[in-house]
Amino acid sequence: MPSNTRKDVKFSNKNEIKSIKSKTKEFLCDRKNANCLVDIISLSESEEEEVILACIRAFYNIFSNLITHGSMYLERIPTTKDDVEDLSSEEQYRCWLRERYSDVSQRMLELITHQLSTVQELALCTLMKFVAAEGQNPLRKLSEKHLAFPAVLFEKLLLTLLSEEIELRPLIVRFQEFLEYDDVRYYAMKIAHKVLKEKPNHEQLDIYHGNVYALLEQLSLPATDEEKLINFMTKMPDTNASLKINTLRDQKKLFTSLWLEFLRKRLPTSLYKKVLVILHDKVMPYMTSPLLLSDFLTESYNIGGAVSLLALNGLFMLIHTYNLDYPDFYKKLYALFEPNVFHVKYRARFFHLADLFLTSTHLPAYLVAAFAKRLSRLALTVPPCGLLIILPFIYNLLIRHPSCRVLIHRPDTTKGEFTLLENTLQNHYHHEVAMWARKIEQPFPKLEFPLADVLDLTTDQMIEKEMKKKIKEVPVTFEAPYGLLGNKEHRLQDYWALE
Amino acid sequence: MGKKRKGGISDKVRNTKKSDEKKTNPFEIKVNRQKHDILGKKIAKYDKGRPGVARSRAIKKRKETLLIEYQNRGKANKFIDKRFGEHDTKMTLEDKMLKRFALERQKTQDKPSSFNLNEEEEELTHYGQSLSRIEKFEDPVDSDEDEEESGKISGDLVADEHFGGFLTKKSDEETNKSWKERMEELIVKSKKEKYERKTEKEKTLEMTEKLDEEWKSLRLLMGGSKHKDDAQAPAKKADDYDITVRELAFEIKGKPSDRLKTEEELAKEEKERLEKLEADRLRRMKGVFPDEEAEKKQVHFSADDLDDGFILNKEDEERFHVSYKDGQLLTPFGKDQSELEDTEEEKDKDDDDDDDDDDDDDEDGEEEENGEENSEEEESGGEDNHSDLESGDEEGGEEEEDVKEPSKQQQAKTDIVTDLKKRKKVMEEARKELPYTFPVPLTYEELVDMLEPYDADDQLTVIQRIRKCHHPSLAEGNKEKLETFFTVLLPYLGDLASQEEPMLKSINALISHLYELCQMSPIKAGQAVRDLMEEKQDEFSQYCQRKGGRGIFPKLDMVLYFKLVSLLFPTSDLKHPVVTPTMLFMGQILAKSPVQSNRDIFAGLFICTLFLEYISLSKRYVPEVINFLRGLLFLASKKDPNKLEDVVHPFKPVGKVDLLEIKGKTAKSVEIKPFTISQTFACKDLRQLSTDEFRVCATCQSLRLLQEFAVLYEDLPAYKEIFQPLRYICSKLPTEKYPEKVQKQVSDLIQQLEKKNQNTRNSLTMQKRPPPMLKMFEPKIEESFDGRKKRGGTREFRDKQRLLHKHKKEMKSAVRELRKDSQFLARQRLEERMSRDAERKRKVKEIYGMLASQEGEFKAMKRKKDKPVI
Repeated sequence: MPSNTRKDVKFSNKNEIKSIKSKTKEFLCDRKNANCLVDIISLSESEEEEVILACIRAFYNIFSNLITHGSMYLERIPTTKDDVEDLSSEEQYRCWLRERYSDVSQRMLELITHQLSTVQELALCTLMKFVAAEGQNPLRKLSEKHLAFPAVLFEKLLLTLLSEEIELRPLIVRFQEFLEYDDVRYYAMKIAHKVLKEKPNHEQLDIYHGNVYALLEQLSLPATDEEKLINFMTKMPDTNASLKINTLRDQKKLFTSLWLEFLRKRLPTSLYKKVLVILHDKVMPYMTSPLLLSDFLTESYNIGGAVSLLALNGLFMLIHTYNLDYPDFYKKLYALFEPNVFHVKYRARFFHLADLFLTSTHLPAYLVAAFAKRLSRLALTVPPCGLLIILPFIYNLLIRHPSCRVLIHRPDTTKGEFTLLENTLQNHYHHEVAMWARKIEQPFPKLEFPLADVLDLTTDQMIEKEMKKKIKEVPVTFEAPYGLLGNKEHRLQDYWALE
Repeated sequence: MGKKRKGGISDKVRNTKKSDEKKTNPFEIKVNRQKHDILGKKIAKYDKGRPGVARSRAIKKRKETLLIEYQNRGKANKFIDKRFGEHDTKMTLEDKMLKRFALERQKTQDKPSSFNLNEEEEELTHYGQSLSRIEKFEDPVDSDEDEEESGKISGDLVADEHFGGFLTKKSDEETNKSWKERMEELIVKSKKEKYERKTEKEKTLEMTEKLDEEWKSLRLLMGGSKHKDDAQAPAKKADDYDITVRELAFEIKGKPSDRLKTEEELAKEEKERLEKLEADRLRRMKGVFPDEEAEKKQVHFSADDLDDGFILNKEDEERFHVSYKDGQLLTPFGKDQSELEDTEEEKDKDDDDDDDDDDDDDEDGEEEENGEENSEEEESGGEDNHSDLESGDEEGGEEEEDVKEPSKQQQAKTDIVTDLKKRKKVMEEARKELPYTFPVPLTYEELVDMLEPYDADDQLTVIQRIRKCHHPSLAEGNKEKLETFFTVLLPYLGDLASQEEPMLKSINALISHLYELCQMSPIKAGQAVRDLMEEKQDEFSQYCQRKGGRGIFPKLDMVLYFKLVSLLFPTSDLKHPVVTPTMLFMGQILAKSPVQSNRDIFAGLFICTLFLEYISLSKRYVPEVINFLRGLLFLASKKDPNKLEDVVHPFKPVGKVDLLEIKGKTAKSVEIKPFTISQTFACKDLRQLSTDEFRVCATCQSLRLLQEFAVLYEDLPAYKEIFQPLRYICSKLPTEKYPEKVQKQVSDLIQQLEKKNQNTRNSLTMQKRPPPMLKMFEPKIEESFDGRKKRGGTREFRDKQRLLHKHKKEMKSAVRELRKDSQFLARQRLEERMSRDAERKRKVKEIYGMLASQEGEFKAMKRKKDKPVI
């Protein structure tokens, strides 16, 4: 009777949840009921999702209450037995509470790696609430200079998040809302940097790197010019004092060193690509000096293939905004123009950048002409969607650089390789390509062709466009076929037989 | 009084009108001069302006709106004056008071006035008719008829009864009677009256009739002879001329021959025939035997019987399948066993013949009906061809019949038993037979249900019959039905192809059906094929997305659809609603799908061949095919392990690159054959294919295809550039291992590729932009001028321009108005301030004056006092 048992389980769950709730109430009402807490802790070992969730909520209720009321506050923590005996009964109770608190934190940290995402999330949020509460009402006496941020608990939490065994990406994405706080971000970066530095650079760390990447991806510094940071989750430090935690510059420094440390690791290719994709957008603006990335980017650019394409973007940022002097940039760019470029995922990005690189009117004509020729040569092998990029691209080059028009206007010589290729495309099987190829014979317009729409164009979209067209007329063959293979003039018969 | 008032109002109106027509001061008019007089142009609205009037109007309007708003700016409440005519400046005070008084009175009078009978203005009606008219008896009705019809009681009775008859005398008797008695009496009375009237009327009628009769007889006496003469006058004899005229008129001008039957009629006949056969079949299935006589008349018509009675007699003799005699099945015609066997054999042979016929038919492609005939022949046992056999038998049969006749009575009992047995047998046979009419399946499932019980040949017959039964000329909605039938048949083709053993023969036969249906309604068919392509392409792209951009080579059904497109639609068109997306799809498959197995090679080669077919007329350039063939040759070539060859996507220089490499020492003895679809696509065991024979064949086919493409593209200016990498790959082929034929092919191809491009490359000149024309001073003359200026650009562009212009205009006018508003307000404020100041000044002055006079008086008094009294 599976249904029956399920019912039973549900019933018992309900009872347990009820008891958890009542015990929480009892505990908060009267100190005599202190043992209720122990009961709840033991209940939290349950397998049932609902029970665990109820336990976590109970913990939150109890401890947030305790922390805010300062019921766990201790001037100093007893270390020896004698110390313990010295304490008053009140202090002993507080000690006991502290022990339970650490038990509960430990249990919650375990729950972060629970298989259910709801449990994970709730545990994470509750822990962060503890962190916040502790930050507001410290559990021990702090000196003036000391910050209220409970670094110990937070470090444990972060280390759990950056697990080596389980991919916690969704949870880390959830964590992003806490990273908005300047202090949380600071400690997160600090701890991550420390851990990352200690990790040996060997290969079995793909999941760990994935988690670190997920965290790094979420990091973003406020885009203000204000040096002082004021968005704190815990008690604000004295604003006058210039601490590392509340100055943007120091956070930026930490951010930079953290990223550099991360990029030093051996990353799996997919992660590597992901890093390259976000580098220019999410990392460079927050670095103290993006030029520190130039080594990494140059290396990546030299790898070739898709990685090069991706590195191009970051490199361009460096050259363009940070004055990186990169020799042979165009030579390498030229080398990237090969047939396979039309079959990779980042095609649109590549052509967008290539268009950008060739925008400058200061480029020598021979260079632009070389690119144009290369592209037209490529045009002989690429599928129609690629052709619809290439052709406007070439035309734009010719419009932009009138000095290149010798390529297509050379009345004195008999050989112009370039346009012959275009002429070939006028015979392309797709009518749109043929139409574009025919444009070379017409006088050039003054304005460039818009590229943005065609960059993302895929064959699927082209087919869809054709399919969407309204059918007005369908011409049909006028010769009746004799069978599947058709008539004599159908070439299929020469190569294939039915049986 | 009313009249007087009316006159007053009209006078006033007239007066006001007069006052409105002020004499316009010429100095107040501003004329907007037209620069050019254009003929036919509408005169602008604003040719004249009266700035003074306009300004005062604007100010007045502002006073009514803005000023009031300004004055009320700090006020929350509003007092609305609802008194009549309070704001009407045209009314005099007296009028206003009068009207108000009237309104007041009306308010109090309004309600009771509806019951006021003295009110003459209201007209009372009854059944939509004015009562006054009814009282006047303007349209008196015939009381007699009316009463009879409506059953009303006569007037005096009513007059007597209603309202107690007023002053009419009544006897005591009557007064003593009860109400009921009186009413009964009344009814009796009225009934009696009615009856009397009726009898009277009848009497009059009778009388008139009688009179008429008498009159007639009298009339006959009076002028009868005259009439008789007229009637009995002998007919004139027609003369020759008349006869000939009539003859000529009636002569048949041209004799109609037997009319050629229209398509509709033929189709109708065909349908009728099928229906009849179906009815027959049903009857036989149920086991009801027709009379012998009827049976004799029952004639079987062939599907393409011309109805000329040519084969008919013969058929009559030949057909035996449904003839019974005395409960004896006549099928064997009394043949003995050996003969039966003989026919059986013949039948088999015939079946084979039929198959041959089938093929022939396909090649002829003319008589679609043949298929049907064949199937019928099969049903009837394929007896068409042995008339010689039967001609003899026929007599024998008859003889037997004669012999049987006497024995009939003796064997009556046994006959019944055999009869029953025979009946059973016949019923079974009939069950096996195909029905003759089918409904059109509307969905694919229906089609499958319909076709499931039959074998492959019968399925085709069924399809044939469906098409015949629903010929568009037979009924209104048949065309639509057949259109849906086409869409249903398409997946059926795919189904046939994707079976474990593809039923190519059926597909082959199905093609002609699809072709004809497509011819019938191209648009719907095109739509159907395109929808199918769209669906398949969706599947493909979804697969690609799942596999990270890598595609898969299609199965046989898809490949056959591609072929079908080329059969149904012309592939040489530049744009074609079906062919263009199909070609894109094919190209996409070739460009995206990595070759991983031998089956992929087949599918790829098939698509390449299809591309060759598609573009053989138009000679369009298909880069994907060249890339693919290059990749295949790369797979076949010797590879240098230390060097990565330059290949294009989807081929990769590493990985499974030896699919087409010859594994054995040599493959010279291999015989080159064309691939067969059934073997290659349906092959389950791929290892079976990985032989050197297959590899050589595939290589050979790619070489041949390349050769053909090379010839096709010879004229392209970029011929050299296109085929350059192929030349290199060809040189890498292990030709020494290939059979001689293939070797020759390789060398031929290389030769072809090295062929110099014959037409020299033309020198290139860019087209010059024509110099912009100078502006002319002559008038621009439009040939067909319709009074409007023509603007260029698309409709959207023009609309946008129009809206922009409108927006600009509105914006400008709004700004102007706002500016004027603020000016007005400023003026208003100034005015207020001035008046305030003036007031203050006046008051100050007054006070000063008062004070001065006071002072004066005081001083005077003082002086008086000071003055010593003399």
